[in-house]
Amino acid sequence: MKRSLRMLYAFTWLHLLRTSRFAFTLINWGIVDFLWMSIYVLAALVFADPSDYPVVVPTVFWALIAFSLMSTPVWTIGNWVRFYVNLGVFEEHELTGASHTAFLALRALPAIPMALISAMAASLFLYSVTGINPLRAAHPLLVAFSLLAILFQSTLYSLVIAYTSLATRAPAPLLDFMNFFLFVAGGIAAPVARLPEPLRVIAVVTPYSHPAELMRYAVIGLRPYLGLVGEALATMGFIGVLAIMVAVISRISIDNVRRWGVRGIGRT
Amino acid sequence: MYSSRLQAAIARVASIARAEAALVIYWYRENRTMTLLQIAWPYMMVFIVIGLGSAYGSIERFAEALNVADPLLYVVASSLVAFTSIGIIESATQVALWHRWLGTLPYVMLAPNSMMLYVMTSGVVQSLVISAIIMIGLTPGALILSGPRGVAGLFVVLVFLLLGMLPLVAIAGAAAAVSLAVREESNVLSFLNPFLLIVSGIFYPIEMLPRILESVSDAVPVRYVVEAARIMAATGTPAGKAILALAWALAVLSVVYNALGAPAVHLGERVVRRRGVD
Repeated sequence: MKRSLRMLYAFTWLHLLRTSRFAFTLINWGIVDFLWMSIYVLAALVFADPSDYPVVVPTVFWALIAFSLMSTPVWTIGNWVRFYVNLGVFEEHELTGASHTAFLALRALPAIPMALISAMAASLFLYSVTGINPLRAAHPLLVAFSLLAILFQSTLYSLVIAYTSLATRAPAPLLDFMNFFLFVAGGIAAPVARLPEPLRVIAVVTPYSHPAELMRYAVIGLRPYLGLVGEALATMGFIGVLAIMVAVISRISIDNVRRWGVRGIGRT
Repeated sequence: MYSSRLQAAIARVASIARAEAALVIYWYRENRTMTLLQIAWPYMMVFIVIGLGSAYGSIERFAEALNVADPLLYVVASSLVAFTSIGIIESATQVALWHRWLGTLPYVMLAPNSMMLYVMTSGVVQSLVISAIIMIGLTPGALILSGPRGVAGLFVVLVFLLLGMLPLVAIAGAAAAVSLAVREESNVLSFLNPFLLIVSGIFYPIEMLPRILESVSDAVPVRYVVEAARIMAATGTPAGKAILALAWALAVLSVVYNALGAPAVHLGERVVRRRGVD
């Protein structure tokens, strides 16, 4: 127990030290996130009737914040596994018996300031374009809970693709293709109830759609597809399922590496 | 004398370009998953824009706001622009950073050719190869959506894309030099890519932007490439004074940007050599 705590403390300290050392990178990625987010929000606004902006602007804005939390760990964890291998850090951890999963999972920490930078900048930009405050929410605590749940789920998902990347040698961001598809088809960008029937089924089995439904309820009061309790239970249930997937896939990948040795991962 | 120097410079660029092209084509040939995903990403962008927009409004309103007759072709052409026009900055910077990661950058710096000449030429070649792959990938989509006219439109946009790359060559070199000089792990100027896209009005009328960004967009090459895509989707023909005016605007910007950027690239190389790479 004491060893595990010391290990977690060391990993956290190292990741935060690295984040402060590469502060320009952090700020740059926050701005990149904000700009891409704004491009998609502006595109969505062109489709909408300007009289609907008071509902559309905050809904699309929070959906994109959720997407930012979904995709940033894919880069900070999933893509970083390439450096983890190329720099020889994998072997160092292996020899000292340190947990690869804990080391990689804590790479989610830089995603939080990055999401904060992009959210603040995007809200100011959208306010200047539309005159609507996108940060307005009916239940701010529920918004915080849903965003935290998305961050947990995306961290676990990123670990799954990081270990898959380790086994297949394909760079993780290329494996992240699914995130983009699920953003639209999986009930994150739009309410599940408004999706056509086949997509609704996909949305219900998509982990992120459940915290996204809670978020829409918290922001504009839209009734969740499975009800408030149903969505909360589904959110927690999917966290459990993803955690099991991480445990299984990490075991297979690490066993594979122990048997065949560490192999480089392709460049994006 | 000047003619022989120019010939030697062209020969140097051509040899770097040939080597880089062979390397990039080898990567894509050996990693088919990467090639397929490269083709699939622009389709994904089309899917996200149409899907997200349709969830909150209608495509008719989109067509009306942008004054285009063929909104789907416009979104396809704009996605081509989004994935290729600005890629040169990212490609050039990645070349420099990748060599630093591998530990081969000192060898690049010791080579007889200028480091920045190598970085910029490699960036251009990578962008051209990626543009060609994405263009091939999007052709069936344009054919299904708008028939042969759609494919022709996409080719006109591709020509503008290539013209639009010219003003960005020096910026790409300067961005690579800055990323090396600040000794960070990634391209610290990668925000330039979405910034250039956002001020170009890629999926929305430029008038939606705040006044200051609207003014900035006049000096951004990608805006004229997007404008070409819009004219193609509105009229379906590459003829006309409007298209010629866009080509002229890009030619003028190429001269201005590269004239201003060349000293920055030179200075950047000197700074990197003085500070060293680790």
